[in-house]
This record gives sequence, structure tokens and C-alpha cells, in this order.
Amino acid sequence: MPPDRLDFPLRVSAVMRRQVRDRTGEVLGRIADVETIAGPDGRERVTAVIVTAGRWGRLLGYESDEHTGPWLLERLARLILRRHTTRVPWPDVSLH
Amino acid sequence: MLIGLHLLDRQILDRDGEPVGKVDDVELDVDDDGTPYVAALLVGQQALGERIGGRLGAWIAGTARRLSPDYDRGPIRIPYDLVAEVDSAVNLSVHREVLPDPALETWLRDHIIDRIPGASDAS
Amino acid sequence: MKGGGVRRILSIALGILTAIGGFVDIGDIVANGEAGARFGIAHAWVLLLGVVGICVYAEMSGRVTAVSGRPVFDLVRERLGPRVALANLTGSLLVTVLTLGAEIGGVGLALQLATSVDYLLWVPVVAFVLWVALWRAKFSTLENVFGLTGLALIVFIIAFFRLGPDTGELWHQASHPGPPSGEDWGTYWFMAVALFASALTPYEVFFFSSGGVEERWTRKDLLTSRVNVFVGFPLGGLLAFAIMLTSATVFHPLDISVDALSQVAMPVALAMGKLGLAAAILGFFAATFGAAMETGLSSAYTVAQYFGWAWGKLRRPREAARFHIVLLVSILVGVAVLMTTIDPIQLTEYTLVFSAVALPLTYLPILVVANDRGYLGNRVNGRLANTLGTLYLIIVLAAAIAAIPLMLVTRMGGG
Repeated sequence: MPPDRLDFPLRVSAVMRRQVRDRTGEVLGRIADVETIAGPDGRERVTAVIVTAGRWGRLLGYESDEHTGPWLLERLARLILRRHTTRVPWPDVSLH
Repeated sequence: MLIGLHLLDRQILDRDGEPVGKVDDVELDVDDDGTPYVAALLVGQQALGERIGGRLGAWIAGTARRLSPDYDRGPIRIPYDLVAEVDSAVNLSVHREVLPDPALETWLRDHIIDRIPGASDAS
Repeated sequence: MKGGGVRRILSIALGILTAIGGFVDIGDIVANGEAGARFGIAHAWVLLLGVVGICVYAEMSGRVTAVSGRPVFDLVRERLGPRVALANLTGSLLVTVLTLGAEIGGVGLALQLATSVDYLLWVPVVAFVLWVALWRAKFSTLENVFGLTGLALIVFIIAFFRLGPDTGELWHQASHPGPPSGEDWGTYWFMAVALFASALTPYEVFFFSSGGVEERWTRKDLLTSRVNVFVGFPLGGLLAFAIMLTSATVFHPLDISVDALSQVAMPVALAMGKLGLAAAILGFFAATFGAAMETGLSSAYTVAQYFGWAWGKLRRPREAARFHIVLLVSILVGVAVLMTTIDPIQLTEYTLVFSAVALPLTYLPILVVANDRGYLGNRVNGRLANTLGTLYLIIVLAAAIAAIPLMLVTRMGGG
């Protein structure tokens, strides 16, 4: 099961900023955040990673939909940060 | 939940709303079926220093480690089961007394603050 | 409802005390006097710009604190991450601790005016009293005593009217911003940036939001927070303006320059005699002591909030040991800096450099979080707050970038 060669337990800080490739081996960018969903037992399981091609790891919160405005900051954030941001489902993630 | 946005660097409060620390790092473990899950919150300057990295981070972590009663104890670890709710803070379902004491706080309290008159008075 | 009125006045003490630290602390008292003497009131617009700016951001941070219980430095670390927040912490801590040193010196200078004993001899006494006050006294007592006594500076407003000012000339200066003959644009802008940056110092929002937590604000206190902001800061700005006005009225026509606290008080003595002078000195004392408390507490608030430690005067000291140690160390460092016999007033000018780092990195996360529904629900920023917030972020950024070159070019405004 992907991702390959991760030793658990593992710190999230060791995953952040790691380079992500898709299954064909093409580089998608670096991990900016890790998405989880709580199961019926309350356990937060990893479902996907948010990958950005930009240099900025931190997205200021503009990756979340709770967040809108102010207009200028939002535009800037989406322009610089979100342009190359993709959500990659965990099973498709390959770290190298 | 996004771990970076909603968890990392957020204030942790105990069941009475008393500060416990920040979420300085998050520990992931794997299920039997291989899916990673949030296992614990790591708290304290040791985890923070290791996360910051570089010479400065190593210095912060090293100082924290020297202060801790046991050099190899590792950072304070709060199992994620103890988290009751995540809003503008991470709220625990337990009282902070059941968690390990932060070493620096204990040391400063015992060696300096308690020796000053009025340390236990409410102002 | 006999106590209602008094309680209402006291409930805005936090806003007033916070504003005093921004507008009439030792550096600003002298800077406003100096600006008035050299440039007349050609910098009036800067004060207005500063008052509106700090109101916009203090309102946002008060709202975030009341609704979510989180003070400003929590937001800084959450949104900018541990590394950038550490850069902010370093910058704002340097500003705040250097200012703390300057304020302790300022209290000494006010006492020197009253007693003719050299201010350096007062410094250890002042530092000790300050520490005892912050160790023992209740937060609300401190803000009430020093916030309200600081209002003695209102004598500058009364003195201004008593001086029989040439309003036509003053209006001309205010409506034609720029350097008068004998001064150049570089120094004019340096002064402008210094006055603006001190109106928006980062420790004001740290102190104000932490004070809200100390007073256990909840969603119900949104109005209290707003009243604090919209009464406190304009009042602080008005006091600063009154100092500038009296100085512009008395010194500017005579081409006398002002660089000492005693000179700033002179117009009051001229207009109102000994009693007025006494009120001015009392005002200086309370304002500088209040600013010393604000900067001392802010230093400890920010460090504790960065690391997530227990903090605040609402806890017994032994339950916030790390917080009280940072407070103690900040006071000691402030005293140590003063003991090099550096001029306390000049000290506040150096803080401009560190403000350049700290200001944008403080206001950006406030603006971002004030738009976050996860935090504020339906209390997120409206269009006005966002427009002004964005505008001021740009101005702050510009001022931050301009501060250092201006400082070098004009040799700290010496011209």
C-alpha cells in the first residue's frame, strides 16, 4: 500500500514539504497539508494530501473553503498559492 | 480536517480551559489496513525545535532535552483519543494534571518563582 | 444604577491604557513635541492616519479575541507557522523590550522633573516598583489607575486654548503637509514614518487582545471591545495631537528645537503656571509608567503565546512560572540597556528598525483570521473592515520598507 517506505509512527513535519509524484512518476509538487476524515470510531484517518507546486508551503488558510476575503489577499493567495494546488488521494501518493 | 491548518500550531487547552501547550507536531501511525491516522499530539520545545530544524531548531530542541528529567524521554505526547473537540483551540477531555509536567515550568517554579513572596497569591 | 456610570468608564480603561502606550509613551511625547517645534503641525495627517489604522486592527483583534478567546500572537503562529512567527517574535520582542527600557527611563525623567534627582538614580527604583506592581496587583487595578491618571495629559488641550493660538497659521500648516523652510523632505518623511509606526506598534494589539483574555471577554463583550477601541485610541491620538499643537504654537514661530521632556512641558507651564506643570508631570509619569506596564506585559504575553505556555495576571504567579520569568528578565534587560546611559528617548527611535519586521507579520495574520468563519462565524469582517484593513496593510508594508533607508539617509531624523 502506498506511500512507499514510510516508517510509522511518523511525524507530520517529516511529511510536509516532501516531494510527491503521481503513479507515472511525474513530480506533482510538495506536500502543503494532509487531509483527514474522522471515522465512526472518532479516529482521524488520512484521506489525501494537498500538493502545491509553488515555493510556499504555508497557504494562510486559503486552501479551505471557510475562508474568503479580503478580496486582494484572496486573489493574491489564489494566484500565488493555489494555482498549482491539487488534492491527491492518499492511495495515489508516491513519495520520493 | 487539514492537519496543517486545523491542528498544527494551535493552542491546546485542558478540560478546564487551562493552557497545556501548542500542537508542536503531530504523530501519525498506521491502521491494520495500512491507512495512516492521527495518533498523538506532540507538545513542547523539543518537538518544536526538531520541527523548525536547522541550527536554531537543534539548539531549541537540545536545550529542552537537557532540561527534561530524562534526556531520552522524547517530547510530551498526548494521545489523540484525549482530544474532545477542535475549534479555535484543541480542547482535551482530561485535566492537565494527568499529563506529563513541562520540565521548564516545573524547574522555574520550584527554583525561582516559589521563593518569591506572594507566588501562590491570587492577584 | 449609581455604579453603572463609573463601571462604564472603568471598562474602557484597557483601551485608554493601550492607546497611551502607542501615542503618548516617552518616545512619542518627545517626538510630538519635536515634530511640532520643527514642522508645526504639518504632521497632523499622520496622527489621523495612525489613529484610524490602529482602530481598524485593534477592532479586528478585539473581535477575534472576544469570539474565539485567542489573543493575537496565537493567530500569528497559527497562520504563519513556527519559523516566520519566530522571526516576528524576535522583531517584536526587540521593539517591546527596548521600548520597555525607554519607558522605565521615561518614568525616571518625569520623576527628575518633579524632584531634580537624576533619572538614572530613579531607574532601579522604578524598575522594582514596576515589577512589584506586575507581580502583585490586579490587572484591572493597574489599567484603571494608570489608564485614568494618564488622562492628566488633558492639560495640554486646555493649555493649547489658553495660549491663544494662531489658528489660521496652524490650519495652513496642517493643510499643506511638507517641510517648512530650513527642513528637508527626508527628515519630514522620517518623522512621519516614526509617528505612524509608533501609532501602530505591534505591542498594542498584543496587549489589547491579551487584556481582553485577562478580562475574560466573551462574545457578549463585543460592544465593550468596540467602545474601548473607538474611545481609547482616538483619545490617545488627541493627547498626542495636543502636545504637537502646544509645541507648534510656542516653539515653532521662534525656531526653537525640542529634544527633552522638560521642554515639552514648558508650553503648559507658560499657559497655566505651576499647577498646570504639575498636572503635566503627573500625566508624563502615569503615561510612561502605563507604557512600561504595557510593554513589560506584552513581552511576556508574546513569548508565552508563541510557545503555548500558561500566561497572564489572571493566574497565580506559580501557575505561570515561565510567563513571570520572561516578564522579570524583560525588565532586567530594559534596565541593563538604560544603564549604558543611552538616551531613553533615542532608544525608542531604534525600535523603528525592528518594527519593520514585526508590523506586517503581525497585521497580516489578524486580517486573514478576521475573515475566517471557522473562527468568527457570522462575525467575520465586513466590507469596510476589509477595505481599510487591506489599505493599511499596504501602508504598513510601505512604511516598514521605507523606515530603514530613511533612518540611514537622515541619520535618525537629525537632518
